[in-house]
Amino acid sequence: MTKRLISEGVQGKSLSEELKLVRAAVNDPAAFAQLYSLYIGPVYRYIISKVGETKEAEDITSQVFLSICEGLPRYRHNGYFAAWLFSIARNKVADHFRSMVSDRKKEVAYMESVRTDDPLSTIIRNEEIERISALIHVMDEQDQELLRLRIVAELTFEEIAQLTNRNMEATKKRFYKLLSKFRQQRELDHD
Amino acid sequence: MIDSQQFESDQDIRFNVLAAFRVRDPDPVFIERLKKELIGQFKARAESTQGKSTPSRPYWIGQVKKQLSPLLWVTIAVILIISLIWGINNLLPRAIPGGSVKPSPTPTASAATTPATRSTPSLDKAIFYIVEEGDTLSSIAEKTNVPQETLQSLNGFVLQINQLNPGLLMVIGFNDQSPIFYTVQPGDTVQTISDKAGISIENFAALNRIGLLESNEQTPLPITNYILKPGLKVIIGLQDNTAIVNEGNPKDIITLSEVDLDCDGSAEHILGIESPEIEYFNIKPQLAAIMLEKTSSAGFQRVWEQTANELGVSYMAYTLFAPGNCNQFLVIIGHQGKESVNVYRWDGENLINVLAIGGRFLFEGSWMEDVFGDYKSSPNILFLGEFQQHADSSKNIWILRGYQWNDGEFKLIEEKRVETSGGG
Repeated sequence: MTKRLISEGVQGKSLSEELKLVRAAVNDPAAFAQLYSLYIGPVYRYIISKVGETKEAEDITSQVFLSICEGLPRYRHNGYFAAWLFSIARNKVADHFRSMVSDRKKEVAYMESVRTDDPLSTIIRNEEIERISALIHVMDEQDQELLRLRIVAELTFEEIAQLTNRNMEATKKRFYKLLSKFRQQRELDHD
Repeated sequence: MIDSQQFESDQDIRFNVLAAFRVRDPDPVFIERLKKELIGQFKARAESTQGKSTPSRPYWIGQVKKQLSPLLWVTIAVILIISLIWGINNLLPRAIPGGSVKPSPTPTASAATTPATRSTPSLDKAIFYIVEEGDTLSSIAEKTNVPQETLQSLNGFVLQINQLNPGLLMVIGFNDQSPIFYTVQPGDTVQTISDKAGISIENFAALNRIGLLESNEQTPLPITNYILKPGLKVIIGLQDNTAIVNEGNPKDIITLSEVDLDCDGSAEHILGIESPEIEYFNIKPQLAAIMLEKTSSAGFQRVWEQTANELGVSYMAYTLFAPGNCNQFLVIIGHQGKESVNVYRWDGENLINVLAIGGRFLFEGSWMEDVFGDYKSSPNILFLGEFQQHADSSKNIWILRGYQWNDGEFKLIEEKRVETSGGG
């Protein structure tokens, strides 16, 4: 895992640059490859944060980009390419969980894991992470998803608002509130 | 707004959140592999869109034509006519896919995963229909007397990529054979489905006519480059109809259970024909047909049979629901993406359908009993669970239903909704 600054990565590119790239990527494989290398990291990291397993994350990531490749000629750029991309990623993850039930064995195993095994608690590396895990665990799904979209997928607040059909300011406020919860916890621990 | 010290501290929080979510970077090998696959797909898409605008007759034909003498032209015409007649007689029904499908250019991938015993189904016995001007799926269904849904299943891939243009070949059925269908699941590829079905990529492509243009020419693309949309029905094998109706073929028929379904003191036979295993579902045995025999003076007598094909599913599985001292109900689950559940009761003469439900079901009474604690001691309760997904995909919702056999019918007595968090 790489530690990165917010100013790097996906958010480093400006809107017009992205627009140019998305337009070019419809017909130019080199531009498409560039778009791919820009988003493969965030998309994969977001998906693995949802499904946990490398193989499954790779399968779903492949599906997302194959859909993008197929759908790009029909995509109309509204300034929120990443929101479009991540809406596909979210759908594919949802499909994945849906398809899991056709397999009885997996399905039962999944139910068992829901009941007995808390995936967040199995990988705790140190106390700080443990405390953050615990905090995340008690959050509702919407807040967890907000953390994922902002920190794991590295989307801007505008993109998150577009993707989740919510107000941008409210999204921002909510995120900083979650962050301050973590900060408070840390101060409590240090005292 | 954020000072540098706080920014540092926020970066640590971010780092820890990533760790808490178990986020890992993608494997560089995977990144490269997917990139190659995407560029392949990209080029395929570009070629297919270009193909529509280019003239159908290649440029070189015109060039050759100018330089040939009339005598040579007559010779070529004769050869063409002969080969055309030969083609119609010999090639059309069977060799369209089988003969013209080129081997996959990725032999290493298929060789590594090819089990030694693969069957080699082909379209030898297929019955074709050639689309005429103005045809629609419903008009073809009317003309051929084949239901629209079957037409769609038989020609899943062909209809995914082609319009119903005049001249398009469609499979409308088979002589003495029944197709075994499979519904494409997310993540499936030509390779994985061929492996699951135990047939070669070439056989799979031939059955579904993958890689053939509308004009029945083979495209230069590797078969593995084709994308099969989840939900699409594809043919993964063919079974001889004679095996189902012919009782003189006992090695194909297995005895699944000997149970006293009607509690009269003599056992009934539940028989089945195994269908090719699709490892994906992990249910064994997977059945292409289920039969019931009752005890008669002459031994056993076949009284009922159901094939997966008749039920419109890729295969069936069965279980017995035993509310009393003897088993009274035969529960048949048909699998094809969604599941259909049929519960039958044997009255000594007939097998009567007493409950039929469609949806996403599972049969895990053990954990459902915990939820239905109140009914643990109640008799004759059949638990069925249905899986649903929350609209924003963040929650998995399980609808658990308990049916009780009472007064000659199954009644829904309890429905519970259980939510589990999705994905996290």
